[in-house]
Amino acid sequence: MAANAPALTFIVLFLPILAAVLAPGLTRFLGDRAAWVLALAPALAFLHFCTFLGEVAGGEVVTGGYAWVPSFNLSFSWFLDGLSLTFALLITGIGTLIVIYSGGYMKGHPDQGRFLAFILLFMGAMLGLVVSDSFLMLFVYWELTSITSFLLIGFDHEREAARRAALQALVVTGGGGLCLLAGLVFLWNITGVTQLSLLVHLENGLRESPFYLAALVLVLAGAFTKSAQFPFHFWLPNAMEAPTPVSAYLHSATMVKAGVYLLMRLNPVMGQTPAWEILLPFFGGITLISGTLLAVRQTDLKLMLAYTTMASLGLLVMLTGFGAPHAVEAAVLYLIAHSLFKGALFMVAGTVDHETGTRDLTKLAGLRAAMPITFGAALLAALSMGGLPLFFGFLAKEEIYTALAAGNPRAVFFTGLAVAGNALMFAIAFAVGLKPFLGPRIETPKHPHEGPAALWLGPVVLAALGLLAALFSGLAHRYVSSPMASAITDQKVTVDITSMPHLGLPLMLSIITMVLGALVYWRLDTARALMVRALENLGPGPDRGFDRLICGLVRLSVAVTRFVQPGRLEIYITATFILLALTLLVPPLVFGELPGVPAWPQNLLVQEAAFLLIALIGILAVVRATDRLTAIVSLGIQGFAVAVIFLLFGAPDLSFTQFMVETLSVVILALVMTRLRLSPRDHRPVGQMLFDAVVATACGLGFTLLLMKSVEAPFDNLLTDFFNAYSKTIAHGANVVNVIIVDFRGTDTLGEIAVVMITGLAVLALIRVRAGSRTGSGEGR
Amino acid sequence: MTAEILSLSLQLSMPEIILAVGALALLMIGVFSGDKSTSTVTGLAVALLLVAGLWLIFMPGEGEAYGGAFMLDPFARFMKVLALIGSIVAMVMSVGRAQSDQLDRFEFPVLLVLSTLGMMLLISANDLIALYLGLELMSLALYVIAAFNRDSIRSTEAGLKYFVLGALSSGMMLYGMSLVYGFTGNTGFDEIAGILSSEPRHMGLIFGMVFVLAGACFKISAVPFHMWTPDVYEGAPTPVTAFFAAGPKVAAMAILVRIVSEAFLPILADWRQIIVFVSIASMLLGSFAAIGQRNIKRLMAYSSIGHMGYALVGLAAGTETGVSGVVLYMTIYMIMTLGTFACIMAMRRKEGGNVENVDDLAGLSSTKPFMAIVLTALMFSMAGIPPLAGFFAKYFVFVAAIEAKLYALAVIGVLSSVVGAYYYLRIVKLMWFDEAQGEFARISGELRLVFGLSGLFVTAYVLFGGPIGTAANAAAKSFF
Amino acid sequence: MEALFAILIGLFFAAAIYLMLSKHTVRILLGVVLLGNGVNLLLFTTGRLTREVPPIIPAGMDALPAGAANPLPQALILTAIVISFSFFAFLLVLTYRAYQELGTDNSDEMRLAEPRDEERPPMGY
Repeated sequence: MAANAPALTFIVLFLPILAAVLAPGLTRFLGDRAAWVLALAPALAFLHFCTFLGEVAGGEVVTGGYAWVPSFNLSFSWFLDGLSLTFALLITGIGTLIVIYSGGYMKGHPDQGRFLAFILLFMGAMLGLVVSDSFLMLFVYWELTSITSFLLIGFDHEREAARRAALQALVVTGGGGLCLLAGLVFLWNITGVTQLSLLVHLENGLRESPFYLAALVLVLAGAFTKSAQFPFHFWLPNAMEAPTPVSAYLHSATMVKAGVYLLMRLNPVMGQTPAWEILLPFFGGITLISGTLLAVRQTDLKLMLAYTTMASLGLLVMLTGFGAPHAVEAAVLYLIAHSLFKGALFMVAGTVDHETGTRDLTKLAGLRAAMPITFGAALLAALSMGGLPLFFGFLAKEEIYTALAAGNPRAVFFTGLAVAGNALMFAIAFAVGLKPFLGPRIETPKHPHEGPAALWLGPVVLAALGLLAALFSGLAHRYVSSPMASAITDQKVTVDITSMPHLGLPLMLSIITMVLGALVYWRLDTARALMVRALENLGPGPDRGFDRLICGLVRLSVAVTRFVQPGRLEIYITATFILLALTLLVPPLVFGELPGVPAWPQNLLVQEAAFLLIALIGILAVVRATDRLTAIVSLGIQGFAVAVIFLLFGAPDLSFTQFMVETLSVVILALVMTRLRLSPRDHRPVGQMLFDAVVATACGLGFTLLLMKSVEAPFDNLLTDFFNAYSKTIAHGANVVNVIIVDFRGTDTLGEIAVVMITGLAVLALIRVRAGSRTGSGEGR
Repeated sequence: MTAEILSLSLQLSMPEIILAVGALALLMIGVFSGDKSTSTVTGLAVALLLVAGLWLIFMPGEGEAYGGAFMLDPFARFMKVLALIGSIVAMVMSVGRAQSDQLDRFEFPVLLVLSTLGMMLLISANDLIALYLGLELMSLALYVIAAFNRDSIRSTEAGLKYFVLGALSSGMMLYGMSLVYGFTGNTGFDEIAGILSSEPRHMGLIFGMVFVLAGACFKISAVPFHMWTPDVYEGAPTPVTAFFAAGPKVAAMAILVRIVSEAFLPILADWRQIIVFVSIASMLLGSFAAIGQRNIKRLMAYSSIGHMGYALVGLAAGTETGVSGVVLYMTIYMIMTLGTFACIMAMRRKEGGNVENVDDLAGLSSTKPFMAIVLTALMFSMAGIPPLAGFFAKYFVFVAAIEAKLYALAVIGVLSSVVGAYYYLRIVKLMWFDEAQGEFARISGELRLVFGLSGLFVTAYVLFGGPIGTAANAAAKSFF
Repeated sequence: MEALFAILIGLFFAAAIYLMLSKHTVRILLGVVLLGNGVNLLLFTTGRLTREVPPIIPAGMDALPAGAANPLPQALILTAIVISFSFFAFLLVLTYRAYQELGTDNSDEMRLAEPRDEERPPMGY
């Protein structure tokens, strides 16, 4: 590669996003032809990635990147090995076809530009996801795919079902993404590495860490939600509310495989542990079986495909975690095969829907004459999905059975699962790819005829690739399968399976699968009726649960708000004081840090005792006051008593200020109170009074105890000594208090003056406001 | 105090002096020419804040002033600039609404300047007394402007509630300070830290710290001191609410950071528990309560409670990464919040009259596409969805928490952000998927500018956020 | 002596809190005034009590005589007195205004925010 390869790759990574920005404008100018132009972006990206094939097949890893925040050690960096390159090729290659297909599918739609923009935006995100090197970038792109998926599913936002599906997908996959982030942070914390390229080559440490299980569970939560594994599968069928190109691209070929990608990526460092080899096959197996069973029940072409996609993802997860030597190779082959045939079948389903106006299996038949090219593509794809010899799906199936059939009970169990699942998928494959085209014609809402080139190009290319890849399996293995399998296992692997059937247990299992599948296909209606009845007995699934969760959340929120935020000042204050009392009293009691019982002061002078008593009487009188005069007078009494106490204990300045302020307060209060004409009588009921009294006493007790405790300790006079020593010598002042205020702490005093100023301003403002509103409303005093 | 020291002190505190003297001058202008000078006073006030900000950015000099009570370090500089930006933007946004919200009185800009002065003093406070003063200066002005709207009864109610609870929290803080002083004999942060690290800690001292923290938590409206927030956010005129949500939060968070990472750093284990508790409670309440809200200002109140919880996650770590996470979080939070409030202020029906219900945003994408795009970006960012700025804010604080081995905190944080994401997404859904019920009036230029810039910031952060991260890091180095 | 003060201060706080728990803003106002005095006394006591010798450096000396009162808390209290007076004045005006606008000083009736019968947010999608 040339020296500027990193720069070129960087541009290529942003090419789809650039195209997305241009899409709305371009559609306005070019109309329906815009899609062909926009498809150039992924096509160019595809070609760019193709140039790496040789290098990567040779075992090299292509890396590059730019620093972002050096201080946080963050960078925008990518790396391409067999795994990410295969994904990148699938994303850009299928992406090109999908963009073209969208142009045909959304022909004449007023929001076509927006749709293409979203698709391309998604493509950019997905591409970034698979090539990301740094954890953070991986996560950022991961969530970006969730968001673009949300926009695409909800594209048809007039229908509530679409809105619900969009939100559901976002909540499930976005939430899973956050779990993934937590998992990645765990990985980083355990290993000290923030780059996937370094992580996969780590020798040891991760599996032995006590946090391994936590990290694994979090990563799996991310992967399982994205790849629609049981019990998070419910969003995928609902996502079929999206226009068909989206289902073909996001919900079968690419985005849903992100979870599988992640598992494959982490396999070298997290795999081969008991937890990994139990959790993955277990959940994968359940997903496989439940997916195929649910698919049989459907009559909607897209839903049938959606459930088999879910099943296929289950199969992939199962294989990735199975741990047998050939399992990873099988997963690789099946992943590629699936992307090709499922993408093609979805597009076929879309074309059929587009041309006939329905996608209900029971209302479709005999389309082969009207839509010959589509039929051809559908048949090829179905043959690959069914796993018939000469097709890539067959290679995958052979490899699966080679890997699983090892003889021990665990292997037998999972082989059984795989056979059952594959058989059902065989049936669905032909139900979708063959059934609508055979038999006598049935009337459809629209008169069917072959779609334009844009609509059949995609399915034909993908379906043909499924055949070609199997015929030239050597080439495919050398450049794609083997490097990918090597990357997943972090050792050199050579895939060598060919499309020629060879005798042995795997072939036998394949035949059993096909026979069983053919049987189900033959009696599909009976099987469907059976499933419908069985599911009715099962009751509501996680899909309903999601609705309840959302409603429950809203109800909980309303309840919480009503409880903590009743809007009543009195309750807020009470809560604060209860909290205060608890804080003050509980810790000293628990830790036994109560102060000692103080001795009665020996030298208490009469005047001191008298003024303490007066203050006491003053506050009691304020509390007990039932008319405003008593309240004001007793407030004055306690204030003046405090002033005298200050005087008695060596604080004449304080005393003077207190006298002034207290006088002012009493005068102002008396003035305002007469204007207010308020009766300050306490209206609290007795119970309330007692409760308030208890809270107040508890707080007061707490303050007393704490103060006693605090004066027990020896006093650190450091700061006072400082002021004492310097007030005469430096500041030339004899009154230390004054010196502190005006000199040492001059700024504080300035601030204090500002406070007073604000108060003045505030009072002025509020009174002016009052005056204004009075004159405004013309109300007399 | 020698002239030399004094001139250094004056130089370091020049932005504050500019504001103080300027506020007095503005007051004079206002008093002598009455309410007709309001727009002049507002313009001058913005200029004043700008000058103070520019001085901070361009004039060098760092260190203590006024005998250690005032501190200007990179952290203070960063947070002050942030607070000033918040105040300037809030003030600019208030211009268009001044008439309809009855804010067209000259006291209003003067009070905003004085409150900003309080914030600056608070951020620079390096001593308990300076802290108390800064806090009171800031809050008193806030109490007044909360009750400022002369026609709205709600505004009076909001002011009263805010004031009573605020006075309570100041009382607690003062009490806490007296305990700290009683046990250490010192009010300076450095001296307190010195004593704490050399002597065995005392139960009473822990109490003192708790009360001081409680006072600061009240100002950032962290649970359980959040009660005023929803009522005041809803009751106060929207420009005032925007002001509340910006600078004061930054300043209070700054002082909280400074107290715990300077004065109380030796007793990290003790305060960490409190911060962890407050943080968890705030995140959970913020997320859960927001879902049920219909009024967008109330929703913003809960959202801000939640955001403060996330910011505290970084503080709980008690490390350099943690503090730089907090600084970054506050920066991003403030910009997102101001942008959102600009959008809220733009919610004005063509027929006249402001609306504040979430449902009024329905179908915004068809009536005001630019605003819808910006608000979508802001909502996604608030929800912490990558690659927007809000995600990075959360990311850095969670990373700090995990580095400090606070796993439970990080996990709860992530979970509550999932719940929190739900209500932001509901707004996005409303704007894009629902039918429009009416059109908004033309949006004034300054609001468009504010939310445009804010939207640009949250989307472009991923590309150009590096220097901000570096600056936040440098700010955090002030303590460690 | 400090213990005696501690008890008195506890009573100040208890009385203040009891008043503040009332629904009537006028009583809350009285409570705030008491609270201010309580806090001032508290600050005073934390700095330790000394009798009658004000912290004034006598002529001819460079420092305070032994047994003089601690000047620092006094400085602090001076600040606090002024601020609590500001608070008092402000709350008084606020109460006055609330009374004029709402016709009540009962904080319970001031609940325009969060009214009880607000409808629930929609549950659909």
